[in-house]
Amino acid sequence: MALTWEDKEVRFDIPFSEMRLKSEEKIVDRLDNIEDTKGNGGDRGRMIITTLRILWHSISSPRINLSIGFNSIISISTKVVNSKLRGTTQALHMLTNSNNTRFEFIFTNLIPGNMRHFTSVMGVHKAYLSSKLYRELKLRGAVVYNKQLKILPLEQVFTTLHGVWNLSSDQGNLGTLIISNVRLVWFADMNEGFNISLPHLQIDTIKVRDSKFGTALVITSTQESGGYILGFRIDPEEKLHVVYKELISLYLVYNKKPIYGVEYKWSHQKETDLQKQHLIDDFSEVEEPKGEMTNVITAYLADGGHIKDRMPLYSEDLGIAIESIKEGYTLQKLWEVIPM
Amino acid sequence: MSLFKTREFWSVTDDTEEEFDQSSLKISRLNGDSDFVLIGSHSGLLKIYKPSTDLNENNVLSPYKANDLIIEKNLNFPILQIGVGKLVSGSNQVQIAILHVRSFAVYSLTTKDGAVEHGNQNMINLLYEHKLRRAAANFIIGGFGGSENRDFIAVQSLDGMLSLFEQETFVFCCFLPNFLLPGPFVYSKRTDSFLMAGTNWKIESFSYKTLSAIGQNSQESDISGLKFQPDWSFGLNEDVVDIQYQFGELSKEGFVVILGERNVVCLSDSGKLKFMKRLEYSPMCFTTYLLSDNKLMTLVVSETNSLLLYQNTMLRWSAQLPNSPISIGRANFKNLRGSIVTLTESGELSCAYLGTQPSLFSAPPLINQELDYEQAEMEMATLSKVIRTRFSNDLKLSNKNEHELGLELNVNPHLEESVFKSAHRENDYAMMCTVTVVLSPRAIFEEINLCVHVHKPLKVHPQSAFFANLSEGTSFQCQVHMDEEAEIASIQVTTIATCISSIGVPKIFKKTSVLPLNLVLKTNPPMKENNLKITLNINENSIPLSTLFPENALTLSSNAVCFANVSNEGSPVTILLAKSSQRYRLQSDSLASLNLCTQELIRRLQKYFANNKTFKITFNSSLPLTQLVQYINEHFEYRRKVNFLQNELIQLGAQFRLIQKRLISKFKDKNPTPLTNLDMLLNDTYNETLRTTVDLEKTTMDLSRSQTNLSSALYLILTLVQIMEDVDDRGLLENALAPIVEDYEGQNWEDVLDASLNHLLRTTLAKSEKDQLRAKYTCYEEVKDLAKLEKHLMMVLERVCKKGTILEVTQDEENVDHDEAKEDEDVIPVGSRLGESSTRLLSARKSLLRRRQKINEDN
Repeated sequence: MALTWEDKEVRFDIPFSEMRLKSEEKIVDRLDNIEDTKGNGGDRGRMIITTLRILWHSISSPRINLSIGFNSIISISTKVVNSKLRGTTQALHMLTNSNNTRFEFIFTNLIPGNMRHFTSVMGVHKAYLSSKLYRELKLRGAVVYNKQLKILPLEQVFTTLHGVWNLSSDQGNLGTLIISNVRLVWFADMNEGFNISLPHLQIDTIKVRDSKFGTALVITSTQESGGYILGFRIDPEEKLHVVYKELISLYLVYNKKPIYGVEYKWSHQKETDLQKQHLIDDFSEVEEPKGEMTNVITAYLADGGHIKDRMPLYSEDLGIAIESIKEGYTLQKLWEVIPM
Repeated sequence: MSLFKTREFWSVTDDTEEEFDQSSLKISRLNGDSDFVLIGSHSGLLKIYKPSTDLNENNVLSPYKANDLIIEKNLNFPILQIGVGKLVSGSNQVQIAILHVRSFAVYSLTTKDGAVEHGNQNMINLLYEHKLRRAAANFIIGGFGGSENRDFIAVQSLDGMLSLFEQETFVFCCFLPNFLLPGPFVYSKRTDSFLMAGTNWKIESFSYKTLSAIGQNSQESDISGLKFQPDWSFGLNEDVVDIQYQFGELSKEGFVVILGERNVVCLSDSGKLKFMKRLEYSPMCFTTYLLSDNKLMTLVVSETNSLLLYQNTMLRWSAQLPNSPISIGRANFKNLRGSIVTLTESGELSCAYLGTQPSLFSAPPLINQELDYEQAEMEMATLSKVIRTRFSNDLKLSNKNEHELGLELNVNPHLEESVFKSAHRENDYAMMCTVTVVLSPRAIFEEINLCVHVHKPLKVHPQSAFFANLSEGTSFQCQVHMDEEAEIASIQVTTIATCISSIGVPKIFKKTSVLPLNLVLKTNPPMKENNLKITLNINENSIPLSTLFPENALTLSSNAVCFANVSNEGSPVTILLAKSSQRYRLQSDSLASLNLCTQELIRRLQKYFANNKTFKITFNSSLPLTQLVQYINEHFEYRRKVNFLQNELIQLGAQFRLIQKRLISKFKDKNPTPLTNLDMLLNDTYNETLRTTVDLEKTTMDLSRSQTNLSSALYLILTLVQIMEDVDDRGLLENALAPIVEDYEGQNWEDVLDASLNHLLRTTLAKSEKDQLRAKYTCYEEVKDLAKLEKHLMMVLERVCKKGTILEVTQDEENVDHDEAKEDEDVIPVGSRLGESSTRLLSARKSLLRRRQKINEDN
């Protein structure tokens, strides 16, 4: 099934079933001597970097684990920290935002001078960011140039169909529909800038139904991508059914074997056996009842006990938007606690 | 590090690899009701966003949605700067201006609403384009010349040409004076002038009128242009990062805000300084805005990613940014006024507001456990054990490591004709012996210094050799010969290799061997009677002398042999073998001469009976101490004489120099004066000095001879004491008696001897408890009274000779040795010892506490 939370959220102490790789999620790197300095200082752990997320679990107790989706990462940097196992050292510092809650992570490599976790995480994160078109809906982007689709590296175009009406406006727009193994793209013939790039990953349903324009192909995008309803009219109607069938079968194939587009290659290929190995090979997992609230997240919160940002409002005094102030405080009071 | 953070509510990361700079971001309302965010990358991609900022049911602003992108278009040429303005004649609409390197393009953004959100169709259309002849740097848009509702364009080129366009038409161009590199510039509405920041670290104001007048009269090809002066200039004395202009509509007041590398400076538009704020950090970028009552607000981003908000010069707020933006702006969105928009170099665009929840980064709390001192102490003990064993391994490496360097000392038993010339050379002892040292390293040594040592009067040549980075076997050859006519103290030859291993650990290797007897002794016809006799008893059948001395077997009879020094120094020594009584007798007129023969005889006997464990040599008569004392006296006298002569030489030298000085001053005088016999005095002193020198030379030789004599006698005494008491280890006494007699300036042999004897008498040889309790003898004093020294020597030897005492001594010695060995093992670095002692202290305290507790409980 399509991605749900893996690359978007930060989760703590997940059951083994959730740690298992999704189909086509690949392990890029696996490092055995990583300390989670922020939450589990003093504990040796294993960091697994996949194409979608960063997994970390303690060696001594694999139930203590983390899953950090690449999409939740706000910033990655290196920071000098004080590790319980290594003393003062350079560490990987990540700021993440998961469901409007900010978490901070610090990972230290226990092998002195080893920077591999920096390079792997940063490299894969970059690869992840630059392959958004594989996974995200894009409207009005620069995906078409001179009536030609800019094809992604892993993309294969199957069908190009001219004269497809997009039914998003009252009179409809005539354009071209392109179907590939990654996505479907429609763009207006009159205006390249008016286009849609919808990866199969973000398709919720594909239907053929009647509309005021007659029989139309209706595709709904997933809720997280905006829940858009796209209507297309293709003449003649038989052709529409052919396209519909093609889309359905492609959708099924895609769901079996999604293409996430995150590619990362080591300059020296020595980690070839990574894929064959199991994530965690030496323990048997006892499933835990879910929904049990743990207080583990507090250890990772980026700003002390601050879980959710309060809503913003405009400060007349500063002329700029500020977070609404807790009751009993004023801007002045808050500012003046700081020793100048 | 700020106490507050910015709260990011909308962000979008560029999915292509683009680059942006300070002028890549523009925020404008365009023709809509809320702000658009325009960014243009270096590769030519223009993106226009309009954050929807819808509030959801939890009063949370909506994050980035696909629909927030208004349009994305590749313009094919690098975008240097984005601007907006009313750039089409006859239209009140706001257009988008894009500066490329060689052109200035104006686009319009049109929106065709669809039935649904994603059906909105946006288009940007090129309205017109000005081709630029010179590579452009930046531009400004404004109503130059007081035009309302029309915006004009001024483009600055990289080489300092200002081109002006009134919307679609080119007006004029002119070259700026004193130009080097383009800097940021703004247009001041009130004074109708351009404020340029140049490379001369000044802000210069050029009025539009002046420029226009100049521009109309010059050609574009005319690079030099006409010289003209700015209306005013303001010296900043630092480079300008950015400059912004704010105009207060109510007060009709202009603010020119300049971000320097270290300061924020605010000028009025007439060039008067309004205020200046020195920054304690390096600023990256800034933006300014005016609040209703002409409050000038400045947002500055620091290098450390802090966002600082100033009202004039007062810091009003600061917050930490999650990344480091290259450009910053302020935007009003649908549900949120005054939002902060930041753009990073790699194209991360985000909108945020200021957080008001203070938080400090604090290291995660460590779970502090109550320290278990006993456990810690145990751990400490094991650790220090590990350290100790490691350390002692190291020590062993440096001493007992014969396997690392094979050192072989070969003495050639066949003598050769000496090639060395000595002052006292006589033909019959001019022999030399070849000694070969073979080095076979089994590890790599960085440096090896090898030296060969023999006792006086023997001399070795060459004495030492140095090898660097030795990795294969090598050998060193040297010759030993007699250098002086003197008694022979010992014919031992020692070689010492001092090495530094490849890891920098210093090591020492040592080997000893014996030189052939023929080198120093020759046979003589035996003598019947002599003054001094030494009788050695053995508990086995006596061995014929020809067996013991095979090298001279041809020339001697089996029961009597006589050896003499090859230089005829001293007196011959006759060795007699009593046939029936297992006794050897050595006789001579000189104690010193006896030494070598006695040593050799004992050595050879012991070698012969090496396999016989019960074999023993004994000496029963009293030690020849009177002769020893004689030698000491003799040595002492010579030493004194040498000292005296040296002092005299010093005096004579001083006197000589003094006379010389007098003479010189006399000769220098302009009016010659009689020499008053000073010349005679000089001559006399000179002769005296020469005589003393000759004396000193002779006495020094005498001293040297007396040293070898004394040394020989001491060796003999030592040897005898050893066999008398069958002491295996003669180190203690040998160290005390110092048989290698050396006199240093300021320290005579007697001084050293006295000190060591005193030490022995107070420690290992102490007779009573009281003696032992006396303060240890630690200082060296010059010996003036020989009688006292004699007494001490007698006492020591007497006590050593008493069996009981010597046993005790050896026991003590063993103990001492043992202790030393133990100390070697126990060597712990001082720090660790301190640490250990402190833990001991802690545990002691702990146990004390526990005891107290117990007592309390008991009570």
